[in-house]
Amino acid sequence: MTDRNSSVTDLRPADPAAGRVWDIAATVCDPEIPVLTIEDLGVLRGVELTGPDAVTVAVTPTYSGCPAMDAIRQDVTAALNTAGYGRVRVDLVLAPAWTTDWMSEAGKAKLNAYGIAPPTGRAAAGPVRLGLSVKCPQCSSLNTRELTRFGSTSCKALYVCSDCSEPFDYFKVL
Amino acid sequence: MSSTDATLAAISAKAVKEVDYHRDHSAQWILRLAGGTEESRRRITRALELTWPYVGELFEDDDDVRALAGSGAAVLPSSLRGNFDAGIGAVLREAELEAPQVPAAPGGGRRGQHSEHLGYLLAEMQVLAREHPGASW
Repeated sequence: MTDRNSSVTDLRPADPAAGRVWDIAATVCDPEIPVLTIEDLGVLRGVELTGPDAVTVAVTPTYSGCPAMDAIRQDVTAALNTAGYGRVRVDLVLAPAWTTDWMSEAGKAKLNAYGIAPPTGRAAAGPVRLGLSVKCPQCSSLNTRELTRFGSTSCKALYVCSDCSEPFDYFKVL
Repeated sequence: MSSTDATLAAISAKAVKEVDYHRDHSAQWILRLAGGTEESRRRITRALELTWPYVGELFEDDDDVRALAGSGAAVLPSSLRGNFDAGIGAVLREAELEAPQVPAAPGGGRRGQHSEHLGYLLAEMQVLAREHPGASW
């Protein structure tokens, strides 16, 4: 069972052959936010070589019923098929529950550059997540407010910046 | 989350976190509508009257769930009513709304007892398959 607090770098296998599988799976991007890889998101949870050309990959959904998971599973299979692994199994693991704490700093920077405010604060810090200011990805102002709790997807809220007037998505802490 | 079924335990560990957002979101909307205009208040009051008859059925136990509770895989729905009343009650109080005094809906769908609405629902959902038998895409 993967430790809840394992960062992604701890999960990449040390063994070179398995590490190669990980690196290929890690190139798969989130279909909704194509600047982020499943490694950046902490969605990729493990790989295992089960034969010369057989691999098992473990991924975890961000939110329950996340509609991107089917596409991610297909993309992982395709990427590994292309790399020569004829038999690919992608397992969806639910525990430990995904948390935004698993999103890499690189991932957060990419989100911000893409125009989505990354999650502020750590879920592990406790249930009081509201109150931390959200910085506008356009002009960096902290003078922002929430318009609606559920934005373009379940994982994001819609905010507006009171300084530059631009609306933007915020990836909620979970 | 203490379910003896590992899959249910994992699903509820995820659900507990996400439900925080859903509860807050829906509470905000109740407050917004109840405290908005006369029209919004009228509509939310009416909406409560229309949906409240179905609340009781959410907390009914049956043989299947009793078996699951017996094995520790699930909890009895009836055991959750107190928390529901406390949580919803707090929102309604803040919104200055009252739980409607309305009779419970007949229910019984899980026991195979259906109203005439089911016929219309099934007809609507089946219309595509009936018009194009054997179709796939």
